[in-house]
Amino acid sequence: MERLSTGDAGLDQVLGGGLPAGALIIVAGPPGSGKTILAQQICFANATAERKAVYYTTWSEPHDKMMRHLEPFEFFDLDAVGDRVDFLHLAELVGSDQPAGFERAADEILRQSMAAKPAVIVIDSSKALHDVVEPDEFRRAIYDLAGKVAYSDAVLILVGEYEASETRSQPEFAVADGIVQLENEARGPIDRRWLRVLKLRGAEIASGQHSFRIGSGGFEVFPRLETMVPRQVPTQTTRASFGLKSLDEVIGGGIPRGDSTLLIGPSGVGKTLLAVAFVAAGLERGERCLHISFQETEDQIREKAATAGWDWSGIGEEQLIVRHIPPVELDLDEVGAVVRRELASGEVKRVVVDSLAELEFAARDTARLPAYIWALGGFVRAGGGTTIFTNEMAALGTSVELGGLSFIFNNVFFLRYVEVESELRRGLSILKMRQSEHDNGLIEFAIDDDGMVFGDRVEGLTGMLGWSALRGEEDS
Amino acid sequence: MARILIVDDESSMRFLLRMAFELAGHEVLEASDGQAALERVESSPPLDLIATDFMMPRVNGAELIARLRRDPATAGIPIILVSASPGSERRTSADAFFHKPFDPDALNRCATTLIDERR
Repeated sequence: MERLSTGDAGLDQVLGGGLPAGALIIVAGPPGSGKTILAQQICFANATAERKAVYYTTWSEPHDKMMRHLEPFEFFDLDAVGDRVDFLHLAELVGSDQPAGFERAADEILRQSMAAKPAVIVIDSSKALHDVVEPDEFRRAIYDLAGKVAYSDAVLILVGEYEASETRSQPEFAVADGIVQLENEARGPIDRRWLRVLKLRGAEIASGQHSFRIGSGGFEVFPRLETMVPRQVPTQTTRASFGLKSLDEVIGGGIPRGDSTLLIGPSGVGKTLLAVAFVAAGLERGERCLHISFQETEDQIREKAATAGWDWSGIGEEQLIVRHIPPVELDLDEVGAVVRRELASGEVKRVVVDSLAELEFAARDTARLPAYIWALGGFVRAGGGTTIFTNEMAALGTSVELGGLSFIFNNVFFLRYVEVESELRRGLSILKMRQSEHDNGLIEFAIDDDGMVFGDRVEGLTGMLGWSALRGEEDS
Repeated sequence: MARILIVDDESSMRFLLRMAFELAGHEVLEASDGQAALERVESSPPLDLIATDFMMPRVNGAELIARLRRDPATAGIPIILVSASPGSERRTSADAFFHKPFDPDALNRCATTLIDERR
C-alpha cells in the first residue's frame, strides 16, 4: 500500500509508515492545537507538479491571512501556491441549504479528485459540512464522498475543532480510516502538546500520547519511546570495564555489555566522575560513546574529564557525542528522540544519562518513568550498547532511596560518604549485579589530583547501612 | 463610472474589492467562482473590467480567463488578476496582476487605465 509522508519522520513512525493513499483521515483538536499547520505540512510535503494538493477552507481563515501565517514555516513554498498547492474556499458552495449545499461541495471535491488527481485533499474545517446535511444522513454522505475520492488515491483529510468526546459520537469518526487527535494541555504553567492516533486502518500504529512541537520546521513529533523499542536484542557476553583496576576486579572485569546500571549516591560523591570514567574507558578502546547531561554543558564535561586525567581535546563527534539538554521544560520524548537519533547515526557502545532526577521531574504526574527508563536502556541494548544512569540521593548516606525503580536496572552501585575515625571518606557498594558474581563489601575510593582512585576493600566496618561506619573490635 | 465584475471565492475578499471599486464610483457585480462568473458575464449588461482571483473551486482563474479570451464577445474585457499565488500571473493572460493583500488605490489606478485604454 502506498504511503504518504506527513513531512515529519516522527509522525510517520507513529502512523506506522505514513498516511495510506486513498484513506479518509480526520485531524481533530481544539483551536490552537496545530491542526491547520499539520494539514498544510502534509500538503506541501506531497504536492508535486503531477499530483498537487488541494486545500479547501470553509469558515476558518482568509487565504491571504493564511499565507502570512504560513510564511515563517520552512515547509511553506510560496511558489508552490496556485501551482502545486491550491487554496480554495468552499464555504460559498456549501452555503446553508440542505442537502444541495453538501452536494455542491461534494461535486467540487470529486471534480478536483478526478481532474487534477491530487495526492492530498483537505477540508478545513469539516465541521461546516454538518450544517448542510441532516445528522442522520451525515455518515452516509461522508462515506459516499470518501469512497469516491478514494478512487483517485488521494488522501482526504477532514480538519475540525472536535472535542475528545466527539471522536466517539460524531458519525464521520466511524467512517474515517484514520483519526489523529491533537491536544494542547496545560500542566501548571507549562503547555504540553501531544497527539494520539486513535485509529488507522491497515497500519501498525504507535499507541498512546506522543509529544510534539511546532517550530519553524513545522510539526515535529517525538514518538513515545516505549512504543519504539526494537524487539531484536543482540546477545552479548563481554564486559564493559571502567578502566579503574580495583573496581573492575570486584565486578568481574566490568559491567556485562547491554546492561543498564544505576550509580546512586549523594551530591558530590563522584557519580558523574565515575560515569565519565566509564566513557573514558570506552574511548580508550576506540568505542563510540554518548554522554547525555542535563546540568553540565559539553565544555564542563570535557573539563571534568581533563581534570581527572583524560584528555578528550582531540576527540570529535565521530567518537564522543556529548549532548547537553537543558532541564527547563524537559520533555521525556524529546530526550528519547535525541538518544534514538544519536544511536541511529552510528554504533554507540556506551551511553551515560546524567541524571535520572531530571527525567523524574519531567515525568511528573505520570506513571510512565519506569517503562520509559526501561525503554531508554532497551534502545541502547538493542544497538549493542551499555547504559549508565546516575541518580542523586537527598541524604548523605543513611539509606539508599531507589523509589521503587531498582527492578529496571541490571546493576545498582551505591556511592557513599563514610565517616571513619572522624574522617570523611568515599566508598562504593554493589547493591545489585544481576547474573554476576561480585564483592559485597565496601570498596574505598578517593578523588584527588590523579582523578578517581579505587583502593582496597574496607575491612572490619559495621553499620554500613547507617550513616557512620564503625570499626569492629579487633581480635586481641 | 464603470461596471466591474469581481470574482473571488472568499466573501471577505469580495467585500474588500467591492469597497475599493465602489468608493471610486464604480458599479460592482460579484461572483464566487469562475463558473458563477461565466454565468454572470452571460446574463449581465456589458462589463468594463473583471477583477478575479486565481485559486477558486469549480472553474479557477486561469480557466476563466482562457474561456473569456476565447469568446470574441468577451475577449476584449480588461482583466486584473488579484491573487495570493505569486506565479499565477505567468499562467494567465490577465492584463494586470495584484498580489493579496492589495493596495486599493493602486488597484483603482490600474483599473482606470485599463478601462480608459479600452474606450
